[in-house]
Amino acid sequence: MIKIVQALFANSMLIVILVLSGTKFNNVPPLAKFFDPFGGFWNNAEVAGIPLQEELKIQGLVEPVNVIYDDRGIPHIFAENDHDLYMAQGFVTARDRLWQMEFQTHAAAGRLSEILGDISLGKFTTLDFDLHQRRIGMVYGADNILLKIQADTLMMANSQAHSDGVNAYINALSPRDYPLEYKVLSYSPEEWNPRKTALLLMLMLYDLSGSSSDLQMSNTLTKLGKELTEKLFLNYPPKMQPIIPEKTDWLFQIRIPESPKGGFTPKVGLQVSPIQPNPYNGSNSWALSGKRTDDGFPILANDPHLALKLPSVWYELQLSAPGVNVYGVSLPGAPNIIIGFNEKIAWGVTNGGDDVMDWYEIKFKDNELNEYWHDEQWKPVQKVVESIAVRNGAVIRDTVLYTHHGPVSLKPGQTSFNRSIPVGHALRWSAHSEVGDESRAFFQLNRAQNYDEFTEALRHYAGPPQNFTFADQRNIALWHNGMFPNKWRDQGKYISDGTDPAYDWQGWTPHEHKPHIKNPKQGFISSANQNPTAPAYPYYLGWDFAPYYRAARINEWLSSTSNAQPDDIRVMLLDNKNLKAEAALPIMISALDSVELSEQCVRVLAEVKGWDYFNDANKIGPTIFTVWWDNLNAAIWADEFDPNNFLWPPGDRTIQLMREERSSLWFDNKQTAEVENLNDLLLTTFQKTCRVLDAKYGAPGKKWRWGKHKGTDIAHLAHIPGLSDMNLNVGGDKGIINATSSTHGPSWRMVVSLGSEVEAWGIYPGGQSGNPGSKRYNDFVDEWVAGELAELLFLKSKDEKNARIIGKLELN
Amino acid sequence: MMLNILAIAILGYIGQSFFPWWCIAIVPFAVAFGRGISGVKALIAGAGGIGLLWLLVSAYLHFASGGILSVRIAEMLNLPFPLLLILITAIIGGGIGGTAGLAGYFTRQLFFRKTNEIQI
Repeated sequence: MIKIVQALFANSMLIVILVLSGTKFNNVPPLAKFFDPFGGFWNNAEVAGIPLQEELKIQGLVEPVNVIYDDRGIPHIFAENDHDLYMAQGFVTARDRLWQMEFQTHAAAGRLSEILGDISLGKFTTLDFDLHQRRIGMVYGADNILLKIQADTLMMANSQAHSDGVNAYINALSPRDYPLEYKVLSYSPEEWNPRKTALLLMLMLYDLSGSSSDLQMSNTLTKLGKELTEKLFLNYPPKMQPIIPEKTDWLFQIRIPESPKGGFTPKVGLQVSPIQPNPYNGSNSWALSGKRTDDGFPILANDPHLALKLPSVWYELQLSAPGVNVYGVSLPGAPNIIIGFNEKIAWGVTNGGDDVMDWYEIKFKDNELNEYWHDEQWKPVQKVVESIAVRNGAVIRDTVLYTHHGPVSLKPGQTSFNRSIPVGHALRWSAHSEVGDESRAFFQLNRAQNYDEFTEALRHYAGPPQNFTFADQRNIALWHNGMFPNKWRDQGKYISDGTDPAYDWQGWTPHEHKPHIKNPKQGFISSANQNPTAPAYPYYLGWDFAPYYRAARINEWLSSTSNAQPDDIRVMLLDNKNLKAEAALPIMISALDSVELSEQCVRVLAEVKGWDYFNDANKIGPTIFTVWWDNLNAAIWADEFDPNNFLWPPGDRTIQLMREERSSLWFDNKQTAEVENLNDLLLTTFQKTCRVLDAKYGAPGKKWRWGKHKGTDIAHLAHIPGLSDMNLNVGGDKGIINATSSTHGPSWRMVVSLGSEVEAWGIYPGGQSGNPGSKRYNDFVDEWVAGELAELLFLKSKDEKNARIIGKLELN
Repeated sequence: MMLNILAIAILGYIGQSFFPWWCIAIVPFAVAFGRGISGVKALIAGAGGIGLLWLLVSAYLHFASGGILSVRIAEMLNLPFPLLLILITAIIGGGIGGTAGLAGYFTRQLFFRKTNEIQI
């Protein structure tokens, strides 16, 4: 008897332990599975490098494909036809970055709760996030993109081939070889399809064209009235140097729509919430004509500024097949090269910043929310039920209302958690339906041999709006490109009247009328997200572009160059000059000249007075200026404008006020009885700055250095601890050519010289492999921090010999 | 004793090359059941065998790969130093192996009257 009990007990214990160690609890992965050296995380420790020779069978390839790996881990894909080329791109990219591809598209589709359950992500939960994605129509937009691709047979075939390549990798994967994050988060990869590629494009559309300040601007309009609002928030700010130089003549006549009479007073929205695209998603790009370079051939440079993440946003590779030989960076999950060069041309992109996202106040018939008023009649609301699966929880259902404008992202009474989504407002966003055929645009761009083919490729491109810089052996050019709604002046700057057709989008800017320039006399072209044109340009594209800082500095460099070499351009990319500080500091310091300061403050003042306005990592001046400016900016505006519901006027406008209207009432703190002036604010904020920095770092010294204070982080995509690279010591900041902030910066730096042989250099802060157990996870980071660029190996054939080739993979 | 430990380690290695992680329970169970060793010996052999196997394989992977993953995982799990991971791996493996060995012993007791103790 006792033997039975003992046996039962022992076996039960065994089973219990097996079950416990095989089950995931909260955020802890199944212990035994995770620590198993044969299939757990240990299995992701990379022991061998890239094999010298490897052969893999992939079902569906028409002919063999050769993938040549160089010493930086870049795959150079040589195929005999486009189908195989894209299938190989899918396979090879998945082999390095599968988890990233999947996780990003889950996030785009609002499916994070499926993987993570309903957990807190800081200021909001995964469920909040997923609901947000559904309500702003991320999946709706992706489905429309997919329809457009499907209508283009050739592009659909490429997309399908790419998916098949990804799936060939997934299907051959056994659980022990899953990427690390699948093991940590305890889930498995699912099948890839062209719809996921469309979702990836929606993600880029969101990051680059998904921000809107209509709500905040409407609040300001209600509070201050039209005149004052327009004085603080200028459509064309001071010192602006537009992308298309001012003196450009626009050789066409057009009629833009008239503003509606009477205007519309939107209701004040409610509490705005934290999910927004990063406002500093932007970039620099410029091109020098042969007149200004050492070898007489154009040079092109580009550095897109995005959130710095591991695995990196970009994946470097070369694609070669009959008709195409192109090198550059791609987005894992989509075919083609996005930024790069081929044997004849080079191109780069910077964010356009046009206003292609507008909010419409909807007047519903009643609480049933079945009809809304537009154009003098009641129109039906379409209701779509979204289902969100929650791991370890119930399925959440959310009904999203659709009007002809777009989805009503919040119904009356619902709480918003996105800073800009007002209640009962519908979203008109070009990402939803005015979709171009971006895959064709890039397909053709990859193959373009000259300027005409370049502009033809751009026709197919709708969004996100970008400035496309171009260079070939003899020309430089730029097109401000995308689908731009034909608006009346200021349309969409505030919340629009959803009942009045005059507020609808009235058609599109014809392709030929989009701002563009070719071979300007000045011998250079640049873009840094600033206003694309001077006010003389007939169309209204938007109002919220980047201030003049980066553009002015770039132009200063370029206009003084007559024999630039590629390395000079590299140095330019690293330029740390802070034009905002150059404009603001003299004014700020002048107030302290005749004031009694504490000994502590005297030292700090001396430090910042001696600063040369360069945000170099080892300098102390940038730290003092940045902290002081942030305090000053808040002191000026926070009393008037609650940052949760209002935008503060941009820094360059504030500096203009400081310079030209010193006695403005804006400097008075409304919350105190006395009337403060600018000098008062400067003094108090400076003293605060000294105190704060002293408390944090002690007396001015090494700890005050900008690189340390800023602490640039390259965070893991899912913020899994241990998988990020934190606290990198880098200079720069937003508003500076080297736009590296604490989380954001040049995600790719590229310099291309268009001689008889194209030569190029590039780097990104990460590595080709998405495996944290691989040396190639972050092997480029140190070089990027040091400001170096690697020489890019551009092979002309699969048989080319080169000492930098370290491995070959044959797919057949 | 050593023979049992080595046998379990080697059989475990072979098993894990083909089957998922839970075969580390089957091997000590089977050996303890089949060889009829005493309960204490079954526990030690199971824990030692699988513990040794997991210790050696994880240590090899750690050192051969330059330890870069271990550093990150240690940070992920809030451990003071990466080598601890090898220890924890061995303990988890050993814990399951020992329990399995013991279960094998008790199960054998259900079917056989005497323990067939072979002195090595």
